[in-house]
Parts: sequence; structure tokens; C-alpha cells
Amino acid sequence: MIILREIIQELFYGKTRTILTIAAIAWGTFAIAATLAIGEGLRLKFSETMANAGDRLLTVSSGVTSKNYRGMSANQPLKLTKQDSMAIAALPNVKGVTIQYEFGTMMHYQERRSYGHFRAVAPEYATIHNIKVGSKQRFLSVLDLQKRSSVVVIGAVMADKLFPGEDPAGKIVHIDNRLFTIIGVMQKKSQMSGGMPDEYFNWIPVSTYELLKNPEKIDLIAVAYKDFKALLQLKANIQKVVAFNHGASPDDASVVNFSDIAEEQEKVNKFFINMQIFLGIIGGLTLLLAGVGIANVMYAAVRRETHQIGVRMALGATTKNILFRYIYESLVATFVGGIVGIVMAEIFVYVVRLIPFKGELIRFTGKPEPVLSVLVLAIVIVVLGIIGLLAGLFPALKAAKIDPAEALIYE
Amino acid sequence: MNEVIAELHNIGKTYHTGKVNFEALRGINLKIERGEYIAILGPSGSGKSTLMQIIGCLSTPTVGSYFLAGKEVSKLSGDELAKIRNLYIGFVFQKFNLMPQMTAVDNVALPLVYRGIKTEERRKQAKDILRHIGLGQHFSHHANELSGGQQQRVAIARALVTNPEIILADEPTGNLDSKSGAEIINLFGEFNAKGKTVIIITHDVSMARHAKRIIEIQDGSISASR
Repeated sequence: MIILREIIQELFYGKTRTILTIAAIAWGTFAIAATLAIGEGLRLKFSETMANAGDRLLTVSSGVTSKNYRGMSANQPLKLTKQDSMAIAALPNVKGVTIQYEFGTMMHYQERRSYGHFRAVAPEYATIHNIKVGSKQRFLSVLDLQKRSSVVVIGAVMADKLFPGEDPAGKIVHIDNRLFTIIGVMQKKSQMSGGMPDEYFNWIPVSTYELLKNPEKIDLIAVAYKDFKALLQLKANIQKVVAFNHGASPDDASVVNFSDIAEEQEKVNKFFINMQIFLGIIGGLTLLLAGVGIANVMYAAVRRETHQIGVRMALGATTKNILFRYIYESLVATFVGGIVGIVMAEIFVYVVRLIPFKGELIRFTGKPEPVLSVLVLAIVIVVLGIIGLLAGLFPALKAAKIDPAEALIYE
Repeated sequence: MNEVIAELHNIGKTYHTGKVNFEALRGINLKIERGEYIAILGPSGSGKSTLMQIIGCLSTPTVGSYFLAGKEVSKLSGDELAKIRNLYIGFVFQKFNLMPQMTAVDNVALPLVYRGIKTEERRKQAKDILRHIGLGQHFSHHANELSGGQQQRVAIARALVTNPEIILADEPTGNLDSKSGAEIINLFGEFNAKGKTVIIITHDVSMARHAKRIIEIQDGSISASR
């Protein structure tokens, strides 16, 4: 059969056309591989960032009634209570429930002071929200909850304001004119969802807050659940339970508001997959154009080599021999270009990783890096194969149809 | 009497170009025996090239039948004809028709590629023939590094490498000076002496004289045979 050596001789015999064609394929491959790598890098980075906001967590906040029901009139704001949280905790698919209060007040340390956002939470909050504190520090504990301790974990923003260049751990601060001991400082993390990033918050035990303020309204009920598939059912149940507790219509969807991190993550993931498909199509079109280029070059080659093809046929070449010869030639050109393109993309990925990025946009996300994954490479190779095959097939079919008697006369 | 290697029965070939029909050959009857040395002689437009195409299985006749090595080949498909050509016919062309991008050895080995012979074996066979034909020094030369006479000898080596029944040469000296031409004529004489069937198509009477039988073609039919 036709050997590679001959194909390569053939390819480099008409150097200019071959080099131009290979360059076109290389560029197309580079375009598709680089865009896919960027897309993949962004997607991976963002899904990691989303996971940092905590997954499998549904937060419930109070809403407003939307219809009259028995004694209840429309447009009544609801206030979530402990009774609601206990009822939710008893529902199926619920792993655990924590309640949360939010407030804002000044924090003082010696002569310095700063306004802070506070959350009164349970110890589980740290696990759910991926909050980590420095070494030899700790987050709120069950003991803190039981003893209603006056301890606080501060966020990075507060740490920067009140303790520039100092270690805040162990320091005593005033919050709302009461003394609190700082037991931990939250370590920075990448986070893109869930509203205001966690580093803007400070945390005290929920029981301590209840003791001090005796609040009548719960701001948030965080529900950790087991099965994502049964999430819709869980939401419906929660809505019914809350409506029942407050005497609202069980069909009133607006009595509670939900915020679901897993769902948001799903959306962001979908967005990035769509973006990659879009980028892939652009890269694919570039490659397709290069493929049309190859097909053109091959057509020209077949025209120019008509006489040669006739000679080969006279010597015994069958249709299959001629067909494969041009398809191979096209595939070899495509893959040589493809390898050059992939190497270029590898270099591009390497160089981009070396560039230090700074900017507001990536402040919370960390630096996205392009990733030339196995999937990306597999896509590129399959696309190259198809394009090489098609670009070679049509000229090859034309070549195989040549009549040797006519071709031998043709100069 | 020798075995008949090729037999043409009432062969006719008509070309259809638009509404015009052109009858290139009509009523050709010809028997060729193994080991013959034949010249097909005729002016251009006489139909001798068409006859060569049919004898060489490059095209099929419109009417009539053609037996080659005992097989009816006039109704075969293109790919079947390709196999027949590869097995039985060694072509030598006026313009040599070497592949310019290949070395002498690769050119000679080319018909063996289509026979499915392995690279090493076919290169060995090609080298043997080239050596035999006096081109042992030119294995890795490309066509443009060889003289016309040398190129035609490479082409003859290519025709011989498959050990064909018939060597079919179309104006083999037409592009050569008289000295190189004479060398080529001598080679054909040599093969014929070894029992090979040689058919030369020419318009040149002095060239035809080297053959043992001359068949003259005029206006698509055989006008004389001697």
C-alpha cells in the first residue's frame, strides 16, 4: 500500500502550498484549542469558587403574603420564628437546620472603631459555608452556644480595619457596648455567589445574640438537605409548613423566599458550558475554513497531477489506491498542522499561567487559568480528523474518477 | 507456432463528443503471439494511439472483443483493468512519465506498490533491474538529475519490474537524440531475444523497421501487415 514516506515526499514537493495549508490548519487548531482551554479554565475556576460558597444548602427567609386567606389579608409581611425552624427540621430530606440573625453595629478596639455586618449563627455555619480560621484559632463551638459566650469570629475586612499589622486573635473588643473576645479570623477564600462575600461578615453565637436582644424575628433559616433531586419537594413542604404556622394560604408561594446555592452553581456551570460550545463553534469554523483551504489545495493538486494519476493508473493503481493516497495526504497535512497548533496552544497556556493578573473582577475568584484538558484535546483531534477526511475525500473522489486513457494524453 | 497472447476480434472504438461521433477504430482483427516484436505504424490521427490504449487495457472497445492471456478483458471495470495492466502490461511512454518527486529506485518500484509487495522486497527488485540496465550508479537520483536516455531507461526498468507479458512502447524514442534512441532500440531487441513480447507504436518508418512484424494503420483500420 501507499507508504507514509512517499506521502511526505509528495507533500514537501509542492512546498509553498503545503506550508501555507499546514499553517492554516495550525492556526485553526490553535484557535479552537486556546478558546476551549480558556473556557474550560474559567468553568473550572468558577465551579470551584461556587463550591466555596457551600453546597447542598437552601436558605429560607421570610416573605409577604400574596392573597387573602381566612383571617389573613394579602401583603402581610411574615416573621419567621423558632417554631418554623423546628417544623422545617422535622421535614424529610432535611439534614440539619440552623437559624441566623443579621445585624449591623460598631465594633471598637481601643481608639479604633468600625461599622461591621454581623451574623449570629450556629457552629455548623463554618462547615456549610467553608469558613476557615487561622491556625491556633477556632470558629464558634457548641460550648459557646451552650454557655452563650461573648466570643466573636471576625472577617478579613474587619481584621484589616481594626487590626492593621496586628494579630486580632485573643483581643478584646466592644460590640454594641459589650465585651467580646476574638477567637478567630476568617481566612480569605474565592467566592462568587451568595451575595456579599463572607469576608465582610463577623460571627457571634446565635444563643448569645438571643440572650442580648431577645429578637422576635429570625432573619434566615439555613436548611442543609440530603438529596438535590428532591429539592423541589422540600421547597414545597417548607412553604406549606410556614404558611400553616402563620395562618396563610398553603398555596401562597410568596410567604417564603428561597436561595439555593447548588441551583445557582448549576446555572453558572451551564452558562460556561454554553460559552465553551460557542467558543468551540468559532474555533471549529476557523478550522472548517482551513479545511476548505486544504480541499482547494488538494483540488489544485489533483488537477495538476492528472497526468501523473493517469500514469499511476496505467501502472496498476486502482480507484482505492488513488482515493486513499489523497485522503492520506490530506490527513497527514491536517495532523501535522494540528500538532503544530496544539503545541502553540500548550505554549499559550503556559505563558498565560506565567502572567500575573490583577484586577477587581478576579478579586473574589482568584486567577482563572486556561486548561488544555484531555476532553479539549479529544474534541480538537476528532474535529481535525473529520476535517482532514472531508477535505481529502472530495478531491480524492475526483482523482479516482480520472480516465487513464484521457489523463495520459492530458499534459 | 507460439501461443497467442493477445487477440483482437472485430474491434471498433467510437468517441462521442457532443453530437459528433468519431470512429477512431473499426473492424480491427489482430493476433499477437508470445515473443513477437511488432511495430504498429501510422501517421498521427490514424487511430494507432487508440489501438495502443485498447491493447494496453487503458480503455475498452465500443464493439468487438479482446482476449488477453486467454481472458476476455473488453467488458471489465476500471479497477479490474488496472489489475490486468499491472499483471500483463509494461508501458513505456514517449515522455518517460517518471514521478519527478521520487528517486529512480522508487519510480521503478512503483508498479510493485500496486501489487502489494513489501517495501524492502520491491526496492531490491527495482535495484536489480536498474543494475541490469546499466543504471547501478543512479539509484537515488531524481528524474531531473538524469539525461533523457537515462530517464527512458528508468522508465523501461519500471515496465520490466513486474515481469509483464507484453511491453507496450508508445513512441519510445520520440524525445531522444539518435544515440540514446539507438540504445533504447537495442534494449527492446535484447528483451525480445529473451522471449518477451514487444509492441512499439510509432509514426517513424525507420523505427518500425527494427520490429519483426509491421502493422500499418490508416483511418482506423489495418491497411497493411508484413
